Amino acid sequence: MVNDLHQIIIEAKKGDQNAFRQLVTAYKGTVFRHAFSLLNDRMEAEDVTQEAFVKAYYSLPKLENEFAFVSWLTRVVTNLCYDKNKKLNKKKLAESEELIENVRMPNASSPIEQSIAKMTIKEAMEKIPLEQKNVLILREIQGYSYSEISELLQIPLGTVKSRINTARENLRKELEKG
Amino acid sequence: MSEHISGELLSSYIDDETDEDEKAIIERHLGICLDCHNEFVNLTLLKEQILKEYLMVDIPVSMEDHVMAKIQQSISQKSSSFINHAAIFVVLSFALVGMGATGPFLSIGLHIFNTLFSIAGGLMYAITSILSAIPYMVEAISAVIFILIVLAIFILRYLVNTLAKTVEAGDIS
Repeated sequence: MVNDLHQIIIEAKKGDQNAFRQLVTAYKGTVFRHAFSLLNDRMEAEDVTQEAFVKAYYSLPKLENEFAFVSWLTRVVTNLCYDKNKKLNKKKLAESEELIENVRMPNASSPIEQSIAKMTIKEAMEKIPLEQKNVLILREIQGYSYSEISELLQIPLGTVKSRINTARENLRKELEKG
Repeated sequence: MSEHISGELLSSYIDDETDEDEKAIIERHLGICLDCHNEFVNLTLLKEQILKEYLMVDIPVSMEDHVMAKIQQSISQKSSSFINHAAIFVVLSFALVGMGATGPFLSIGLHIFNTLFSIAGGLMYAITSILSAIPYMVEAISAVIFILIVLAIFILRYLVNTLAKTVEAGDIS
């Protein structure tokens, strides 16, 4: 599977559009989830995903190491989401006020479960800073190790550790606020 | 380990990012401290909830079609833009040649060219006369030109390297 994808990346680098289409199929889930979790807006996430792949299509011939494709693509998506987020910031803030609807969970027992009942994870995620959200998503959803995140975002390993911890603490605070 | 485990260490432990020694200390502590154990359970639950929340997200089915359509669109835009520029260049060239060859523009153009050529010739003569009158001027100018060329090569290399890094980072559209 990995070898197949590597071969597809090589073909796509040469300009083979069918190969590139296969790459989109293989990575659209990863890219879309990442964009959606950072932007919390389906339409915007779709736009960013498409933009990221178009950007990838034109920049792919310049990619030196095919094995670095996924982390490179993740960096492209992250940058696009940061840009998009700047544009949407004010709008998103206003929308997030309206979005807070209580979702009750039956027989909630632990404090986290009780707080989840008050606010969904997605809503709470919207309240935490983008830098914190990004490292948490890279870890939880994309499954990157701390050292990979450090390399990908070009920040020290200690910063990754503390940022993930702060993100979790802030997320919990938001969930407890309800 | 009598005091509680720090949030950062517990967070790293949940992510399996601690070394074997830290892991052993944390596990021993979790076995005897209810507060830290509860914190561990809550963080683990939070982690699971995040994963569940985003894995449930529906992925757009027609993403491939949209991406490929956008690529085709940008390719055709680029090629039509090139054709337009080429067409404008050809038309303007023909127009200039036509005007120059047929109308009064030919004599005016030749006159202007002749005057400019005379001015340039005069300037060249004056400059070379001044330069030859000053001792070591030619050597000094040669040295300055050489330094400028070396400086330009260094700047060019730096720019190329920066551009390559930017492209690799995916910042160039």
